[in-house]
Amino acid sequence: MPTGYFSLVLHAHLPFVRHPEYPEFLEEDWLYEAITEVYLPLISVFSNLQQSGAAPRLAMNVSPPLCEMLADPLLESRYARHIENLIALSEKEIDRTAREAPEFSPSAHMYYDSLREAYQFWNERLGRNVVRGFRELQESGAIEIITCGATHGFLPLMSNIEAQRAQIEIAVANYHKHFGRQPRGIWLPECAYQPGIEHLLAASGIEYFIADSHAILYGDPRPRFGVHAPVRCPNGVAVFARDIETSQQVWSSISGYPGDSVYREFYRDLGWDAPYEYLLPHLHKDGERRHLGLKYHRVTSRTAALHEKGPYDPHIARQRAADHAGHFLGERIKQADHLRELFGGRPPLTVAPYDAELYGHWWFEGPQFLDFLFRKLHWDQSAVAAISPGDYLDSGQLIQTQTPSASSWGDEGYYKVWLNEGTAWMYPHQHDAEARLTALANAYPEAPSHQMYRALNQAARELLLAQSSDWAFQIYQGTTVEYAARRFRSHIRRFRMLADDIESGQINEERLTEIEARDNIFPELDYRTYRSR
Amino acid sequence: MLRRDAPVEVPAEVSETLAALAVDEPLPENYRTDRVSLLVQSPGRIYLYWNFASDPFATLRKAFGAQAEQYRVAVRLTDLDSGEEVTYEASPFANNFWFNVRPGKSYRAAVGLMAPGRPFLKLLASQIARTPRTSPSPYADTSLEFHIPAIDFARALNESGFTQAAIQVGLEAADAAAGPASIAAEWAPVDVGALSDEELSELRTLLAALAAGADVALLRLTLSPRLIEILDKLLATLDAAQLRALLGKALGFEIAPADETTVLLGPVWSASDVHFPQRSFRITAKSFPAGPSPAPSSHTNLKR
Repeated sequence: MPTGYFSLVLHAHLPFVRHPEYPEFLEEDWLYEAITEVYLPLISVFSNLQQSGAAPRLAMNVSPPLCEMLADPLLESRYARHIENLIALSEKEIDRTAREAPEFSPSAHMYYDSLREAYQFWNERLGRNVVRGFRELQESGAIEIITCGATHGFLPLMSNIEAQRAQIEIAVANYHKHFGRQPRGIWLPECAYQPGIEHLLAASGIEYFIADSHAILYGDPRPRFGVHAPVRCPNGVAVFARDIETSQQVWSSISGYPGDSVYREFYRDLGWDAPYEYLLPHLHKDGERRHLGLKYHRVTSRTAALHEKGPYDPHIARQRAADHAGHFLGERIKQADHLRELFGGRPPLTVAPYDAELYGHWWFEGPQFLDFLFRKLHWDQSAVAAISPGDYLDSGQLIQTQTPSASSWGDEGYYKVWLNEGTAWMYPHQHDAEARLTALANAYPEAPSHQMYRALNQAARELLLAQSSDWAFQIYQGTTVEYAARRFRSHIRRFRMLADDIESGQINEERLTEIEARDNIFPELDYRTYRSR
Repeated sequence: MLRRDAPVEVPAEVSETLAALAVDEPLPENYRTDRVSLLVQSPGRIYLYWNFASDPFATLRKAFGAQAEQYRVAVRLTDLDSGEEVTYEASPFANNFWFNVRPGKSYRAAVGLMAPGRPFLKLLASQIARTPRTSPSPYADTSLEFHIPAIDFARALNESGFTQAAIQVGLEAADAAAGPASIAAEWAPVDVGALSDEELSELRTLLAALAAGADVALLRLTLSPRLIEILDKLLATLDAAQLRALLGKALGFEIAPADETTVLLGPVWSASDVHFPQRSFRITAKSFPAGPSPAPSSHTNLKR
């Protein structure tokens, strides 16, 4: 038996961003960058690990909005255009850097090679179907895919149980569509838990959820094994909580791995550095400079200004990723040793949840780190075993019963990020829509016409999209405030237009068709999920 | 069923109806329905918003005539555990209110009207909101498999970076080892009088928070009036460093400022702004092992 267990949990989520009304849209780039830098590399790494006999056995949430975007034909065609553009630019960069900046040549070659490989992998191996890549990994036994809220809605701040339930049920139905089975686990949006949510999860067949550390540490009664074993709510749903030490090692701005001096610097980008006329054919039609994902500099030091950053060396960075994987594993072994002693001989479980986009987008070498880590876990030692949360539940270990404490993984540990002076204005509108949709669903146990059915379903889609916790988050963070606020307002407005039409019995067909075409998430959705029970 | 098999291209001309979809207008200020909601933001703060279907003063004027002018919109918060009520006048132009509250409590709010010398007229009553805990449960599992002694739980909390909670539970372990609960009062070097079990628990939380360097102003908001008195006495006689030294000596810990590698300044990367517990101090004791070692960097040469 190993000394301890390690469970990596990756949370892959992007808000549903799709603007067919424009030929291109800046915020859609979030998806295209993530496909190139995160999802394709992770699928490739995990596939190779599986084929080499070192199955990673981790859990990964691929959120419903992300699945829907990855499966969308419009976004697929736009992604092809995006990566073809980058390949063309990176090919030019090989010549340009050879002539003008040979210190960047190794990186230029790296980008050209990796982009072409990514394109080939996506186009040929996956058939342009990224979700298929994740599905195959699960079916081969490499990873365990879990779900999330339907549109990553913040459950504790919803006004009625119907709205909360719908987020779970629609997510589970969408998971069935994409992955052909029942999800065992769920990443609660923002790991936001309040007592009672577990009943909704159990009703949808969910066996476990991921929560933050203090959900268990402050739970009642005290957890025998701290965060190093799951607990079960009284209704049987299990809770796996985040280990702070592993979070710090990757995420801390002081001591975390991604801040290492040899790693790629995120904020120096060709899109800002290269001459404008040279770049112009590769920018959006608006001609605005933007991040392109081709970056030639390394972190250099925490205090170095952007113009002081040194050239990036991919080979040295790769070696550092291997070193860090070894260090991380060494720390897990040490941690398992002393925790096992504290826990009277029971092997501890360390649960390490992260945003998937950390690995590859924010931390460029992240997928390499994971590759090295899982190889070392499998081949270099036997003290710590990689397992998924589902594996742990299947192991037959006795699990303590506890009522977890209300919490989230957001700043300060509760709900402040989503409810504060800058975002409080959203909730009266959201709650009115929740109440109104529930009333409509109750009023129409059967839609009187196909058109009315479409309108009711679309009203549900607009509410779901308004509920995305990403909008309040972006407003709080001050990142894309205007876009986030506009998105929220537009979905509430569309909901209200549709609800007014439904209540009057006069549906504006042209408007309904256009809204359906734009906000086309969850075509399988049925508004009756919102009926009171 | 939506057609998903072909990309939708934008037509060159957009009708008036569709153009309306692109307009970004403010949302309604009033939904013409009575609604009130009490939402938890954090253990120390809850948010109330309300909406009146019709102007309550119009009804008041019909009933009381000129006397209606004496009334103001008010919000009343009830602590359902203690029964304590507090009423605040709300701005006539606002339809929301923030309350400072205490962790681990249940509250209900009401919106109404009040005038000098007159009873509060309740118009809308909210649902119950329960604030989260900010400290461990006082209860250990009673089963053999899952019971954890306080000192071991203190160690587990320290392992997870929950230093303040570890000190608090360490104090509890000291209480249990020393005998009657009143012994806990001896750790506070002021005359605290007879304390109930709940107040002793609160005192341990207070001492732990002070020792861990918690913000005193924020701490004050979470305390009962009795403990605020004790806090003020403590602040008059001790500073945090002295308190740490006293507690450390009594508990067998060393409570020292954390070095740079263990001070968590939040994530460097990724969209999520993930919570980390305040870790300005670290506890060391014979029974507590050392924390993680630093990662290799440009200046180390880790060979594996």
